[in-house]
Amino acid sequence: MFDHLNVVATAVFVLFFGLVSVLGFVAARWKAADLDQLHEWGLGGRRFGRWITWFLLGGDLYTAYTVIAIPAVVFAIGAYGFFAVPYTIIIYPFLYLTLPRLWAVSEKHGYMTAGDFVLGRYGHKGLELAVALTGILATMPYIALQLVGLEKVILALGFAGQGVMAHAPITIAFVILALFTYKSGLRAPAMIAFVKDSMIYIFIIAAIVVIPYELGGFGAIFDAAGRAFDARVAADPKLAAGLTLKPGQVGPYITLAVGSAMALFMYPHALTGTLSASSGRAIRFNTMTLPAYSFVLGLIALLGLMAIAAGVKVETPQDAVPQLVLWAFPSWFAGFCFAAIALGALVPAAVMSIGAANTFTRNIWKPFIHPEMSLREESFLAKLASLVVKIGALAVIFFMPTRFALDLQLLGGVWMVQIFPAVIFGLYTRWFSGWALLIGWAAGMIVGTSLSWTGTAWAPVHALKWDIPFVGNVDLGLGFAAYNGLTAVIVNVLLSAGLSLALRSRARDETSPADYEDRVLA
Amino acid sequence: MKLILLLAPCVLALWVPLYNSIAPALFGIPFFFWFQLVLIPVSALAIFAADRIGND
Repeated sequence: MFDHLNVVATAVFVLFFGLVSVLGFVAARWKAADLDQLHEWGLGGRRFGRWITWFLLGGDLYTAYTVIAIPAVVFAIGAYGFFAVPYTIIIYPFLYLTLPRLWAVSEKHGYMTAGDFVLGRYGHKGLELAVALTGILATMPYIALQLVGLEKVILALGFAGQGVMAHAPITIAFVILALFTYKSGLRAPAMIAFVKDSMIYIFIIAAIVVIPYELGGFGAIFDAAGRAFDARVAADPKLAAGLTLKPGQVGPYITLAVGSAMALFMYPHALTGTLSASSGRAIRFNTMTLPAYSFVLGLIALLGLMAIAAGVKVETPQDAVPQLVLWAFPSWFAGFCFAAIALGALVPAAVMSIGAANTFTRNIWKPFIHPEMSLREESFLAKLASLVVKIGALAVIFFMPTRFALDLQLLGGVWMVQIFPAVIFGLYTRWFSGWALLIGWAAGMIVGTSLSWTGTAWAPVHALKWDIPFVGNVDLGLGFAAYNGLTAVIVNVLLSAGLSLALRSRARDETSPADYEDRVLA
Repeated sequence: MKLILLLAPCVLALWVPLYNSIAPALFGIPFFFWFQLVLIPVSALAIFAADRIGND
C-alpha cells in the first residue's frame, strides 16, 4: 500500500493539510457570534467584507475538480476545453448588474437561499420547492466530484490501497471536513480559502514559469501539442481535436459558455458565498476582481498542453495535471501543489454542503414539515443536513462508478439553468406568475434531460434538430449543435411567458421595488 | 455607455470566428489562446470603468 509512496511529497502534503484543518476549527471563534443561529452558521452573519468574499468566492467557484477536469479536456482534445475562459468572462458583467439586487432584497427580507427569494417574490410554495430540489440535486454530484479531484492527487502521491483501504485517505479528509463544517459553519471555508487560494496562486505561477523553461518555451509547447493532435486526428478522423476549434465545435463552444454562465450562480454554494457579503458594494468589487481567478484558470487549462509536450504517461486525461506536477517539480514542491489542489476540494465541498443544508432547512423542512421551527432548531437541522449531504457524496464515490457522478454533474448544470428565469427575471419584474414559471421549469427539466440522453450515454450538447414525439422531425436548419441547458431554458422561458399571459397571479409579493436598490450606490 | 462597457467584452468573448486561428501568435502562443487570456483583464477593466460611470 505504501511501497510506491513519495515520502517527501506526502509529508509536505500532510503537513499543509493538517495545518489548514486546524484553521477550520479555529474559525468558529472568528468574528465571534452565536453559531446556533442559522444566518450566523450558514451565512457568516452576512459580515464578510470585500476581501474575505473575494477569497471565499474564488475558492468556492474555482474548485479542485476544475483544476483537474479543465486541463484534462485540453489535454484530450485541445482548444475546446478553453470554453471555460469565455464562460468566466461573460459571467462577471452579468453578475455586476444582477447580484447586488439579489443581495439587497435578501438582506432586507432575511433571505438565505434562492428558494427564500422565490417564495417571497411569487408567493408560490410549489415553485420554491422546485428551486430548492433542483439546487440540492445538482449540488450532490458536484460535491462527489470534489472527492474525485482529491483522490487523483492522493493517487499521484503513490498511495495504492486495496479494497476498503483504497478510499481511506479521502474518508479521513472528509471526516475532518465534516467536523469543522459542523462546528464553524461558513467561517471555516472562508478562513481556509485564504491559505488555499494563496497556495494555488504560488503553484500556478511556479508552473507557468518553470515548465515552459524546461520545455523550451511556449512555442515549443504549442508545436508539440499541435503535432500530437494532428497525429491523433490522423489515426481517428472522427476525433475533433486541435489548437483551434473545428467548425462543428464552434456552436457547442459558445452555447456551453453562455449556458454554464447562466447556471453557475443558480447553484446554492455560489449564492451562499454571495449573500454572506456585507454589502452590495463588496459584491460589485468582486465582479471586477474575481477575473483574476479566471486568468489563473486559463493558465491552468494550458497545463493540459504542457502535459502533452512533456510526454507524461496517464491512464485517464484526469491524471494529466498531477503527473505533470510530478514530472516538473521536486518532491517537496509537488507535495505543496497537491495539498493546494486537495484544499481546493475542501473549500467548495464545505460551502456546497452548507448551501445545500441551508436550502434543505429553509425551503423543504421548514415550510413542508415543521413550520414552527425555532432559530436553534433551524441551525441544528442545517448542521445535521450538512453531514448527511457529505456522507451521501462519500457513498456515491464508494459504491458508484465515477462515471455516475460525472454524468450527474453534467445533468446538474442543465437542470440548474432551469431556475434562472424564476430567480433572475424575478429581480426585475413580477410579470411572470408562479404557476407559469413552475410549469416552464418542469418542461425545461424534461427537455434538457431527454436531449442529453443519446441512447448509450449522456452528452451535454445536441444538434438543433429533434425527433419530437407526436410532432415528427423538426430541424431549425442552423447546422450547429447547442448546449442542452440553453436549448431547454429557451423552451422554459417561452412556456413561462405564454402561460403568464393566461395564468395571472394574485398571490402576494412581499417585496417592493425599493428593496432591490443597491443602497450604497443609490 | 455603462451597458456598452459591460456588453463589449461579452460580445468579443462569444464571437468565436474572430479569434479561432493560430496566427498571429504571441511569444509562440496561438491567437486563439492569447486573445482570450488577454480579454480577461480587459473585461475586468471594462466593469471597473462601468462602475466609475455609475458613481458619478
